[in-house]
Amino acid sequence: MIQKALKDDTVLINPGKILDNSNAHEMVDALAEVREKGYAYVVIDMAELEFLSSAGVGSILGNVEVFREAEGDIVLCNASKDISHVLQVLDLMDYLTIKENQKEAAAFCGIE
Amino acid sequence: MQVDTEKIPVVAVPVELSELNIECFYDTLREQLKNSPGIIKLDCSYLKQVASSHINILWQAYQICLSTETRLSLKSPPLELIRVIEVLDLREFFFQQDWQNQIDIDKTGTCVTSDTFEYDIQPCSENIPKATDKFLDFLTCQSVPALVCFELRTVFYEVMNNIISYGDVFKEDDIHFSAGIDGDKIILIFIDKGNPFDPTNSELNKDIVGVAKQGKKRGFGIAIIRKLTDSMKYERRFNNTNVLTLEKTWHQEEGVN
Repeated sequence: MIQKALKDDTVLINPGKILDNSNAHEMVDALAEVREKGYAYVVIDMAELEFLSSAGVGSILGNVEVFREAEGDIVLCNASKDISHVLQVLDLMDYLTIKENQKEAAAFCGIE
Repeated sequence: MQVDTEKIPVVAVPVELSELNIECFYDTLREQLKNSPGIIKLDCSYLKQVASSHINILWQAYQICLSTETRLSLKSPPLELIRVIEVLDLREFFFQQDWQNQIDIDKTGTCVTSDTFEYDIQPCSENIPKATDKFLDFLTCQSVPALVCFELRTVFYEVMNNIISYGDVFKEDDIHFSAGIDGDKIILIFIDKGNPFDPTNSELNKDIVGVAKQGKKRGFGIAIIRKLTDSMKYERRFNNTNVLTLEKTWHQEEGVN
């Protein structure tokens, strides 16, 4: 997973085209690494994401509370209509922090 | 695959191949491709007789679509056209779905496009993408709305993955999948010889957010299947096979149920 620091406490992750059972562990590992390094916020840019399986959903969901308890968050952005639809069907739109684009996501994380 | 949620554009293949008609056909095709539809259908239903020039313009159309990363599909190809394409060994370009499952020829020689899909998959995770592509080709040829295609792709993946990952299916025992479409309703049937498991009785993940708050990272697959389909039935048959039947309906105009 491509990672890039946006600020001292914020990192950007690009999951690529597919986040499914074959690579969901990479997301889990990436979020664990980010947490260990002390980042409070993670922006997951889904601009390229074409498919999200249950394992992909779980890799993100299972870490949200950890980041929120540390007064940070996992922020999703640039989700396609299809991906957004699946998240909506799963009743996750209110639970997850989802922004339209990277700029709005960065603003949520305190980056001007 | 991103497919425009609008209706798949259809361009009629000209019957009479005058210079003007051919030019008009290409202009119409290029105009439709400007909207990046993802997939486009060429209507062949008016072709009574097939000339070599028809094959030539279909091939040119294929090249044009290829250059814009647009999938091309033939709508209502007459039997003669199918035979010519087969003789010229071009079916992989124009009929990307499983050939035998898609085109049936009845006793009168009339070509009938099947509204059912059947596929046997060897129980290995690496086989899921190819099977998914074939299933998606079938769905798009049946004009299933794009968003519904995405939902069904997800359901297909989750069921297949669960069977392969947790069913302890022997490698020699293929998983049999069939899908039948009737208007705006589809029935999916998965048959495998793995361990018995009734997902309809599973209490797993009814409250996805509640489970997520506990920090769990796995086990959302059945919840996704339930949410994206209208009904789920499980049967364990006497010959130790599992039969999972899923149904889904949608509104053609809205794209989702």
